[in-house]
Amino acid sequence: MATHGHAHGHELQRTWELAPSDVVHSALRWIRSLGAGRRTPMLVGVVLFVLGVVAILAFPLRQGFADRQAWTYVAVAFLYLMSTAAAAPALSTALRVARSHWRRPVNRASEIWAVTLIIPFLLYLLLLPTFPGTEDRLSIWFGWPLSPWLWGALLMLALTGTGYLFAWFSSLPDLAIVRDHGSPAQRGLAAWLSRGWIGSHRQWRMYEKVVNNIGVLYVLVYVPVMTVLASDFIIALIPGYFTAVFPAYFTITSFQAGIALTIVTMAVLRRWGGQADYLGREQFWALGKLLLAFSLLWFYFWWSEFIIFWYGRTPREINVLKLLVGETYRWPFILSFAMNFALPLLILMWNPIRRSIAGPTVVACIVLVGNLIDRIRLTSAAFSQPDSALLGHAHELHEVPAAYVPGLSDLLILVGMIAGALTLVLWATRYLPFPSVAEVVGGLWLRSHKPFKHARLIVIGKPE
Amino acid sequence: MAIREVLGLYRDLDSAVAAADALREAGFSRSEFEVLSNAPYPEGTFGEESGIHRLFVFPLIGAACGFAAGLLITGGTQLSFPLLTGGKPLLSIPPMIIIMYEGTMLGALIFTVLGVLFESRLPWIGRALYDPRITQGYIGILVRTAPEREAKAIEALRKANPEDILTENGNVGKQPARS
Repeated sequence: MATHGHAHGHELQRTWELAPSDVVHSALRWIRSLGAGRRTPMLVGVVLFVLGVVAILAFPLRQGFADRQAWTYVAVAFLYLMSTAAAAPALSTALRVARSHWRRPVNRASEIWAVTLIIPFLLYLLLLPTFPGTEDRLSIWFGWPLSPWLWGALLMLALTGTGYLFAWFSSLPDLAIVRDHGSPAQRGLAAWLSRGWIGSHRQWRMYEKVVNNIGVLYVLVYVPVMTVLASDFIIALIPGYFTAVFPAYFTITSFQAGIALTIVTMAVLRRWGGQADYLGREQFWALGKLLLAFSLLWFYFWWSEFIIFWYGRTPREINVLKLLVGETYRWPFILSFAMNFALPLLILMWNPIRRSIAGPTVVACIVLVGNLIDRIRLTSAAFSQPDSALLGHAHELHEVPAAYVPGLSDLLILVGMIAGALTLVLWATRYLPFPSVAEVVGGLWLRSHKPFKHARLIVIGKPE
Repeated sequence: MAIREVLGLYRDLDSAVAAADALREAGFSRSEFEVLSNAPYPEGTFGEESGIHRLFVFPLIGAACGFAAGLLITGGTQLSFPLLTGGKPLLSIPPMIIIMYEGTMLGALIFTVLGVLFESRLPWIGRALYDPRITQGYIGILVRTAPEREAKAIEALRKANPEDILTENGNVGKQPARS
């Protein structure tokens, strides 16, 4: 059983003071208050997305798939969305498996990002033809037939499918609320998606098990997908970059960005979404601790790889370090180091900051920018090599290339794809109420207020 | 045999639990009624026994099938078209592992979905008595019983102060009609 104390004015999580009917009213207010507030950002998002699509059509696509460098920022957008939006649902699974109660209002904020997976999936399909086959070059595939195209696409398809299933099943009970009480415009899709849901005992038992199972499957697919992406998009495209640590670094830093994205989403919901009763200091504090831990892991994995190259000092290793750390992309690396590790550590190491709402939110924003700079650094370096530099099982980077400076079209592509993901999330909020009624009310039913000497405790049961 | 449905709607948990108790006292077994709610309640709240489900079997079978398919594709291809390169082993294990892992995950995923559909009986094609107030926080007790026991079910549901009682013929009211 979890207990929360309340005495002498200490803050108590407001959620646990509410009645189940308050939560239902909040959710109904959410689905009935859709309107101008969200219409303008959605419109801006759609315009930016369209501009991004036009930029892809007009620049990299027109130049053809043979010029991989022209596709650099399509790949940056893809890898950034995979590191943030696709990582957030994995956090939700981790919190569910840990069976904590504070996570109940948080889950929706991270799971909703699964609806954006269609964008990285389509970008991936666009990027696939830019890769040469793996027969005559070093890669994780060892020249396996149809690699990386078919097998990578299958992995991405599995991840996208699992993500949508996870998003659908975890929101099924709340879709039924929209079906029953939403406006006629909302009801159509919600009724179709929640067809047959009546909230019976059998369905609830399945719901809890299935959401956990699909969530775990999502994580089990996400980790190998990121491993393969790290290999195909970065390691295999930089001759001489022989590393076993990088895929782990890439995956761990994506989890870090997924946590950061969830915190920022929570802050936005709290500030502009009327969720202050549900997303309080308890949630920000808990996720702030996780963010600090993953920021330390950022350094651990980067250092584990760096130290091998540093002490190796062969010409091959020196050239890789010059490209990624010391010369070509020195400033992106310094910024990435500062924003993903140094600043989060220096800010979140202080208890009062970690225990606040603003502290973790500011650090989460820094991490999201830092992750983007890191992905730009890695992708720009990897996509600067022509096929001729990779073929013949090239073992060494003979010439350190110049840095790739993005043009206007690159920025349009990057901003447009991120805006597209944000628009999809905004659109999904038409059908997914905040807070998640099933999660929060399910927790409230397990709550009991108990006096303890001069204090008042809230006891929350953990049924087996 | 024809089955009739009766749905009692309750404002709070206590009344709904009292209705479930009244139904049991009236001789209805737990399999004859179902509790409908907008959030999951702890197992056993309404006196139900934790049932057995077979969901875990589905991903296991799917994973085994997917693994076998992955092994067949990778191993079978190499054994069917043996090309020895530079004296290296015929079976190239590292890429085989990736593809077998993909197969395992895909199989587990597809079979999990099938298991969910089977175990939760979704999508529900038949019709069941339902009221939108359930998603607003009311608790429904849905009785499925023989036509001759319908009146007995209504009587039991009325004992627990329902908000409404619905049958396939419409609302029968929370109190018996006066003659």
